[in-house]
Amino acid sequence: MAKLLMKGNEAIAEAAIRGGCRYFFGYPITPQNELPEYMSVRLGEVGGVFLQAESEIGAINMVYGAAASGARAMTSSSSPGIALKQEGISYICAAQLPCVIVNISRGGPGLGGIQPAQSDYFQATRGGGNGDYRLIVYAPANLQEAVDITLEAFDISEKYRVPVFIAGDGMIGQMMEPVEIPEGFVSQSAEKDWTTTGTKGQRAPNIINTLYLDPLKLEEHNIKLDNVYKLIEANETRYEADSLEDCDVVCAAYGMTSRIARSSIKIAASSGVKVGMLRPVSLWPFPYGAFDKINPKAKGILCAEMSMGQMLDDVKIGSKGRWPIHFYGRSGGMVPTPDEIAEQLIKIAEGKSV
Amino acid sequence: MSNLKIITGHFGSGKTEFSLNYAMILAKTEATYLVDMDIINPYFRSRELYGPLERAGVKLIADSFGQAQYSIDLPALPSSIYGLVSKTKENIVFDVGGDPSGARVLGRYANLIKERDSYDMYMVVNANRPLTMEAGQVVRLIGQIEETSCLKINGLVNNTHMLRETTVEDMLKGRELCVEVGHALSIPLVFNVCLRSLNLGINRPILEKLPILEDLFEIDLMLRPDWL
Repeated sequence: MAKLLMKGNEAIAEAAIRGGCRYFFGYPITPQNELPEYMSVRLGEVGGVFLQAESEIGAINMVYGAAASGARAMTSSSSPGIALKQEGISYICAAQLPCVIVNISRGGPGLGGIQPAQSDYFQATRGGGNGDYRLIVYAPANLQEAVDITLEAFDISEKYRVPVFIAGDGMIGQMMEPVEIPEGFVSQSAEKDWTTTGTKGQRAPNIINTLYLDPLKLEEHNIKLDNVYKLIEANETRYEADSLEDCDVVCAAYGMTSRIARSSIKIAASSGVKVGMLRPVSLWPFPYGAFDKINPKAKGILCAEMSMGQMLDDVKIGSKGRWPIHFYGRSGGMVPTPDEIAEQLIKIAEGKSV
Repeated sequence: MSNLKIITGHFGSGKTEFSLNYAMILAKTEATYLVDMDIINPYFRSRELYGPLERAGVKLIADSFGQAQYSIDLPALPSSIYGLVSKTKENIVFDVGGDPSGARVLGRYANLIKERDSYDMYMVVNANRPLTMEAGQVVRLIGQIEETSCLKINGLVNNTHMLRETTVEDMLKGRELCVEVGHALSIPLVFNVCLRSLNLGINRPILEKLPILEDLFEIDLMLRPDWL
């Protein structure tokens, strides 16, 4: 099919519908409003339901209810709104309910601002909710990738009964780019024998619950969840890597910052510095294994983010102390320029402190 | 041609890039105001370019809170717009927010605008956008924008593009669409917009094959950073 020019929020919404989403529950917040707005028009056309909840907390619990009955349900918000949803996300994980959650993030903490930021990395990968749980977190760097990830998000979520969390920043949501949304996407919908769709007197009731007062039973539940997470770590880790084996310096960046870093790498190359790129696509599971490909003699790794340094922790874990780790970040909605990041990369290659 | 140009369209049609380029060209010969009336978009608004606009001699009117606050998204417009619409004889370009909801802000100025000698209201069309790909869709959108703005659209601007992947074929496809819409509503096609980087203006062999030499309007992408 032909390419369309779409805004990120619209493209994610359309891809979700093509991927099987039929229920959307949300509450307005900048800069993700085009996503629910698009859903409010399109879901009716495909026989789905769009509902603007009374709050973010209401929306995530509607997702819980719809997912419990086997429906493909989704919610989206932006940073402080996602913060409000954390209790519901923890419950959804405990109840092993598949769903898709989108964060078009903005500067924080608190109410923050409305310009793009990547300062919700901890929130997404370390859990803002309580308990031992994980989300499958994908961070697209362009709209085509956002579409491709969203298309299969429900399939992946149902396969493991773990929510898929799409971490886009405000720029991904607001920017326009040509995209192709394939018509013939065939969903690999998983068999669901756990849904609360009525017993019709033919089976024992399915109960969706997150309360385990017996500590032994709760530990068993945690071990069961952890086994699923280990499976996801083995199967669903995604990243993009360029020239790691023979580079002078590595730039680790994800999402929009990786786009900027690509320009920085070209600038550094014109100064004779060869920079490798490590771009995690899945923020959890994080591609720790990719670090083993890095040139042992590389001068260092620069982690670049639109935050004060959050993925930085995972870069340190992945590097296992083999290379000096440096950081460059802008925050609060400020977007780094290609020159700023290139300057840091060149300094590291020249052995100067950053 | 009126000296008040109101630029409307579907969101993502390229209204703001067109408005910025248009205002800067006008400012080369005459005093020009650019009024950023976008109260529904948080990013990619013309007020972000207050520096380049000032250097180009364009007087920018955005919100009342000053440059430091150009990244907030309050649905508020400065009172100075009333004075501008009712008194100023200089060029004014209104960069209006997308869709009928963005055009709603025009309603409060509609009576003042109608009291002027004339006004031009252009609809920017990108045939590569999902909701403005067919003539019927564009006609419907024009009707909706006219309804919320209480004003009449009297010109079409073909801005059919695919950002840096734009080809001549994109522009021609959009031109065909605009001509069809124009026939249906008796509205002229005023400009065919194309990226200067397509080199249509200096590429004579390509240009001579096009029937649209007279109304080609070349623009530079101003809001989109080079790395994007």
